[in-house]
Amino acid sequence: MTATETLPSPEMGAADQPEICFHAGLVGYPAAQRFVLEHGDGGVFELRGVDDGPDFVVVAPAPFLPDYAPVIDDETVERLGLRGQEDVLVLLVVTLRDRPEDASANTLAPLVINARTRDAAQVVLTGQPFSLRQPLLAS
Amino acid sequence: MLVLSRRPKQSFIIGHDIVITVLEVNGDTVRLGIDAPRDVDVHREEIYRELQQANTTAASPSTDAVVAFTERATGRPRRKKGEEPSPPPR
Repeated sequence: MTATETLPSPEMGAADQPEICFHAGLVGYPAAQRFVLEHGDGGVFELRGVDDGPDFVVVAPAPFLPDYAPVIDDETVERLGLRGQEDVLVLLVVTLRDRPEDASANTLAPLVINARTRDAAQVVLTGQPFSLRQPLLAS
Repeated sequence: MLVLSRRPKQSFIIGHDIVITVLEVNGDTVRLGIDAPRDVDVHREEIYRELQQANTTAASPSTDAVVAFTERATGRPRRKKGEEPSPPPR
Protein backbone atom coordinates (compact mmCIF):
# COMPACT_ATOMS: atom_id res chain seq x y z
CA MET A 1 0.00 0.00 0.00
CA THR A 2 1.40 3.40 -0.96
CA ALA A 3 0.64 6.08 1.59
CA THR A 4 -0.50 9.06 -0.43
CA GLU A 5 -3.12 10.50 1.91
CA THR A 6 -0.79 11.84 4.54
CA LEU A 7 -2.33 15.05 5.86
CA PRO A 8 -4.06 14.59 9.21
CA SER A 9 -7.49 16.08 9.64
CA PRO A 10 -7.39 19.39 11.56
CA GLU A 11 -9.17 17.95 14.57
CA MET A 12 -6.37 15.45 15.12
CA GLY A 13 -4.35 18.20 16.78
CA ALA A 14 -7.18 19.37 18.99
CA ALA A 15 -7.38 18.83 22.71
CA ASP A 16 -9.20 15.84 24.26
CA GLN A 17 -8.41 13.55 21.35
CA PRO A 18 -8.13 9.82 21.95
CA GLU A 19 -4.69 8.48 22.58
CA ILE A 20 -2.53 7.01 19.87
CA CYS A 21 -1.12 3.65 20.92
CA PHE A 22 2.22 2.30 19.74
CA HIS A 23 1.78 -1.24 21.05
CA ALA A 24 5.43 -2.13 20.53
CA GLY A 25 6.73 1.21 21.81
CA LEU A 26 9.38 3.11 19.88
CA VAL A 27 12.91 1.93 19.25
CA GLY A 28 14.90 3.33 22.16
CA TYR A 29 11.69 3.82 24.17
CA PRO A 30 10.01 0.41 24.38
CA ALA A 31 7.74 1.54 27.22
CA ALA A 32 6.55 4.66 25.39
CA GLN A 33 3.27 3.43 23.99
CA ARG A 34 0.60 6.08 24.64
CA PHE A 35 0.75 9.50 23.03
CA VAL A 36 -1.53 12.41 22.19
CA LEU A 37 -1.14 14.80 19.25
CA GLU A 38 -1.24 18.52 19.99
CA HIS A 39 -1.14 21.71 17.95
CA GLY A 40 -1.00 20.94 14.25
CA ASP A 41 -0.76 24.36 12.60
CA GLY A 42 0.81 24.05 9.18
CA GLY A 43 1.37 20.33 9.58
CA VAL A 44 3.63 20.65 12.65
CA PHE A 45 2.46 18.58 15.62
CA GLU A 46 3.70 17.81 19.08
CA LEU A 47 3.41 14.15 19.97
CA ARG A 48 3.19 14.13 23.74
CA GLY A 49 4.01 11.04 25.73
CA VAL A 50 1.44 10.03 28.33
CA ASP A 51 2.86 8.58 31.60
CA ASP A 52 6.07 10.63 31.47
CA GLY A 53 7.03 9.23 28.09
CA PRO A 54 9.21 11.32 25.77
CA ASP A 55 7.72 14.06 23.57
CA PHE A 56 8.47 14.46 19.88
CA VAL A 57 7.92 17.09 17.25
CA VAL A 58 6.37 15.38 14.23
CA VAL A 59 5.27 16.70 10.86
CA ALA A 60 2.82 15.67 8.19
CA PRO A 61 4.99 14.99 5.14
CA ALA A 62 2.83 16.74 2.53
CA PRO A 63 3.61 20.41 3.31
CA PHE A 64 7.34 19.75 3.58
CA LEU A 65 8.15 16.77 1.35
CA PRO A 66 5.33 16.67 -1.21
CA ASP A 67 6.92 13.83 -3.20
CA TYR A 68 7.20 11.52 -0.19
CA ALA A 69 5.26 8.35 -0.99
CA PRO A 70 6.35 5.49 1.24
CA VAL A 71 5.17 1.96 0.48
CA ILE A 72 3.71 0.36 3.58
CA ASP A 73 4.40 -3.37 3.67
CA ASP A 74 1.59 -5.92 3.92
CA GLU A 75 2.68 -7.02 7.35
CA THR A 76 2.22 -3.49 8.71
CA VAL A 77 -1.11 -3.12 6.89
CA GLU A 78 -2.33 -6.30 8.57
CA ARG A 79 -0.83 -5.53 11.97
CA LEU A 80 -2.40 -2.07 12.15
CA GLY A 81 -5.68 -3.22 10.60
CA LEU A 82 -5.45 -0.70 7.74
CA ARG A 83 -8.46 -1.22 5.48
CA GLY A 84 -7.67 1.44 2.91
CA GLN A 85 -5.93 4.72 2.17
CA GLU A 86 -8.40 6.63 4.33
CA ASP A 87 -7.15 4.78 7.41
CA VAL A 88 -3.51 5.67 6.86
CA LEU A 89 -1.91 8.61 8.60
CA VAL A 90 1.84 9.04 8.23
CA LEU A 91 3.85 11.40 10.42
CA LEU A 92 7.61 11.98 10.47
CA VAL A 93 9.71 12.38 13.61
CA VAL A 94 11.67 15.63 13.53
CA THR A 95 15.10 16.16 15.06
CA LEU A 96 15.57 19.81 16.04
CA ARG A 97 19.01 21.36 16.13
CA ASP A 98 20.38 24.70 17.32
CA ARG A 99 19.25 26.44 14.15
CA PRO A 100 15.64 25.74 13.10
CA GLU A 101 16.67 25.49 9.45
CA ASP A 102 18.90 22.53 10.33
CA ALA A 103 15.94 20.42 11.49
CA SER A 104 15.64 17.04 9.83
CA ALA A 105 12.90 14.45 9.50
CA ASN A 106 13.15 10.70 9.74
CA THR A 107 11.72 9.54 6.42
CA LEU A 108 13.21 6.05 6.76
CA ALA A 109 11.17 5.16 9.84
CA PRO A 110 7.86 7.05 9.68
CA LEU A 111 5.11 6.77 12.27
CA VAL A 112 2.23 4.93 10.64
CA ILE A 113 -1.07 5.49 12.42
CA ASN A 114 -4.45 3.92 11.79
CA ALA A 115 -6.62 7.06 11.89
CA ARG A 116 -9.70 4.96 12.65
CA THR A 117 -8.40 2.84 15.55
CA ARG A 118 -5.38 4.95 16.67
CA ASP A 119 -3.13 1.91 16.57
CA ALA A 120 0.34 2.93 15.45
CA ALA A 121 3.85 1.71 14.77
CA GLN A 122 7.19 3.17 13.75
CA VAL A 123 7.97 1.29 10.56
CA VAL A 124 11.43 0.90 9.04
CA LEU A 125 11.09 1.14 5.26
CA THR A 126 13.88 -1.16 4.20
CA GLY A 127 14.74 -1.09 0.52
CA GLN A 128 13.25 2.39 -0.05
CA PRO A 129 15.48 5.42 -0.70
CA PHE A 130 14.77 7.32 2.50
CA SER A 131 16.89 8.82 5.26
CA LEU A 132 17.03 8.99 9.03
CA ARG A 133 18.00 12.66 8.61
CA GLN A 134 16.20 14.26 5.68
CA PRO A 135 16.62 18.08 5.74
CA LEU A 136 13.19 19.58 6.22
CA LEU A 137 13.37 23.30 5.52
CA ALA A 138 14.97 24.30 2.26
CA SER A 139 17.37 27.15 3.00
CA MET B 1 26.50 -16.31 24.18
CA LEU B 2 24.87 -19.61 23.28
CA VAL B 3 26.51 -21.08 20.18
CA LEU B 4 24.72 -23.72 18.08
CA SER B 5 25.44 -25.20 14.66
CA ARG B 6 22.71 -25.63 12.06
CA ARG B 7 22.51 -26.73 8.44
CA PRO B 8 20.29 -25.19 5.76
CA LYS B 9 16.58 -25.96 6.34
CA GLN B 10 17.22 -26.49 10.06
CA SER B 11 15.76 -24.11 12.61
CA PHE B 12 15.99 -22.69 16.11
CA ILE B 13 13.04 -21.97 18.32
CA ILE B 14 13.37 -19.02 20.71
CA GLY B 15 10.82 -18.97 23.50
CA HIS B 16 7.62 -20.65 22.37
CA ASP B 17 6.82 -18.93 19.13
CA ILE B 18 9.88 -17.45 17.40
CA VAL B 19 11.34 -19.76 14.76
CA ILE B 20 14.56 -18.92 12.94
CA THR B 21 15.38 -21.08 9.94
CA VAL B 22 18.67 -21.18 8.05
CA LEU B 23 17.56 -20.97 4.42
CA GLU B 24 20.81 -20.74 2.51
CA VAL B 25 24.53 -20.34 3.06
CA ASN B 26 26.39 -18.72 0.21
CA GLY B 27 30.02 -17.74 0.85
CA ASP B 28 30.00 -15.22 3.71
CA THR B 29 26.24 -14.58 3.50
CA VAL B 30 23.64 -16.51 5.47
CA ARG B 31 19.95 -16.12 4.60
CA LEU B 32 17.62 -16.63 7.54
CA GLY B 33 13.85 -16.90 7.70
CA ILE B 34 12.21 -15.54 10.84
CA ASP B 35 8.72 -16.42 12.00
CA ALA B 36 7.69 -14.31 14.97
CA PRO B 37 4.42 -13.07 16.46
CA ARG B 38 3.15 -9.82 15.00
CA ASP B 39 3.99 -7.83 18.10
CA VAL B 40 7.67 -8.76 17.91
CA ASP B 41 9.62 -6.31 15.77
CA VAL B 42 12.56 -7.74 13.86
CA HIS B 43 15.31 -5.32 12.82
CA ARG B 44 18.77 -5.64 11.38
CA GLU B 45 20.93 -4.71 14.35
CA GLU B 46 22.79 -1.82 12.72
CA ILE B 47 19.48 -0.25 11.61
CA TYR B 48 18.01 -0.73 15.07
CA ARG B 49 21.02 1.05 16.64
CA GLU B 50 20.83 3.93 14.16
CA LEU B 51 17.08 4.33 14.68
CA GLN B 52 17.56 4.21 18.45
CA GLN B 53 20.12 7.00 18.14
CA ALA B 54 17.81 9.02 15.86
CA ASN B 55 14.84 8.66 18.22
CA THR B 56 16.92 9.53 21.26
CA THR B 57 18.29 12.65 19.56
CA ALA B 58 14.77 13.71 18.53
CA ALA B 59 13.11 13.05 21.91
CA SER B 60 11.87 15.81 24.19
CA PRO B 61 13.33 18.90 22.51
CA SER B 62 13.51 22.15 24.47
CA THR B 63 10.50 24.46 24.31
CA ASP B 64 12.68 27.17 22.76
CA ALA B 65 13.70 24.82 19.94
CA VAL B 66 10.08 23.78 19.35
CA VAL B 67 8.90 27.39 19.22
CA ALA B 68 11.72 28.44 16.88
CA PHE B 69 11.13 25.50 14.56
CA THR B 70 7.35 25.88 14.48
CA GLU B 71 7.56 29.57 13.69
CA ARG B 72 10.15 28.96 10.99
CA ALA B 73 8.25 26.02 9.49
CA THR B 74 4.77 27.53 9.51
CA GLY B 75 5.58 31.22 9.28
CA ARG B 76 3.42 32.07 12.29
CA PRO B 77 3.66 32.05 16.08
CA ARG B 78 3.11 28.76 17.85
CA ARG B 79 -0.17 28.59 19.73
CA LYS B 80 -0.12 27.84 23.39
CA LYS B 81 -2.12 24.81 24.43
CA GLY B 82 -5.85 25.52 24.39
CA GLU B 83 -5.61 28.76 22.43
CA GLU B 84 -7.70 29.26 19.35
CA PRO B 85 -5.82 29.35 16.04
CA SER B 86 -4.66 32.86 15.21
CA PRO B 87 -6.66 34.50 12.42
CA PRO B 88 -4.99 34.49 9.04
CA PRO B 89 -2.93 37.62 8.30
CA ARG B 90 -4.80 40.30 6.38
